[in-house]
Amino acid sequence: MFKSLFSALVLVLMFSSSVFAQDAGDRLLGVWEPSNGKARVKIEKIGSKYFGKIVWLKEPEDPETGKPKVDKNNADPALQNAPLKGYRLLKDFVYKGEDEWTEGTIYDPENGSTYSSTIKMTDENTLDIRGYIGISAFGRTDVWKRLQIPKKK
Amino acid sequence: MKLFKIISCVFVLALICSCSSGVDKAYEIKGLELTMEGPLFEGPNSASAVHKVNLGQLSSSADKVKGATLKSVVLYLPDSLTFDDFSDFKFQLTADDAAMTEAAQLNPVPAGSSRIELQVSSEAELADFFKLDEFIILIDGNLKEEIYDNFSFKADLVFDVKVSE
Repeated sequence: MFKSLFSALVLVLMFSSSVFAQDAGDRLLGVWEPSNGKARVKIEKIGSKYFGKIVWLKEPEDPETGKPKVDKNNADPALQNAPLKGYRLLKDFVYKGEDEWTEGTIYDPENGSTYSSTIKMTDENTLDIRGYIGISAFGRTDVWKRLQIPKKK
Repeated sequence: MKLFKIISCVFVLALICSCSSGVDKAYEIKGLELTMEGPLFEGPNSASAVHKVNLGQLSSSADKVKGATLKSVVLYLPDSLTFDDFSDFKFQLTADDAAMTEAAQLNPVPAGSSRIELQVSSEAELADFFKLDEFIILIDGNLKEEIYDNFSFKADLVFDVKVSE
């Protein structure tokens, strides 16, 4: 009797802790702005991983063509005509606990390169996004801010 | 000595052939139903569907998958409707145990079309997805203006899956 009660308690604790971990990871959801202010990125969850797509561009048109910007630096020629608006530049992030999402990649459309990446939430409205090649020590960190919706007066 | 060299060459060639041998088979997903749930706002919107991998249609199994690429993606609506509300589409696969991969796009969407074929990437390697039980098919489209309803369409997909025999 005691054994089965104990087992049930352990199962409940395990389930609730995994649900809590998922909910904590969802704090990443929302619209964020990189430090250069050139874009806004909406982070959403697909399956159990987190992805961020461009939903707004400060300069949506390519000055050379006068048309909406496309992913012209993509290494894959078949994808170079895909528009940047809607492009998922953050991919495959997994919540690891302690306000950190890892195992992801970040794409830089300005040079067509993809970097390994981690995200650290320093407060509810601030992210440190680190892109690196190989090991995390060789990389660069950018600070992203959550887009604040102006309050109605 | 010469005979030894010839035998060695034949052996190496046979080894290379055995490593790379595989047969391309068409893996089809027909009539896949997708819905972007409204209200839908101007800009990027998504529709997704979970696909249960069935390598039985290739008479094969996950451990025999050596490669996979997308061959074609066709999106379609009933004849009376068109994709005119969208400027472009993008096609991706993703899964919890595989990295998201873009495999096709179409920009711009031809006017007045109820059936569109996306431009596929022959470089996007998709074998990892066919080694899983299931994967997610994700189609993004940029809307030109708001739609205060769901937007549903269907897709026919064909993949080239290389399997060892």
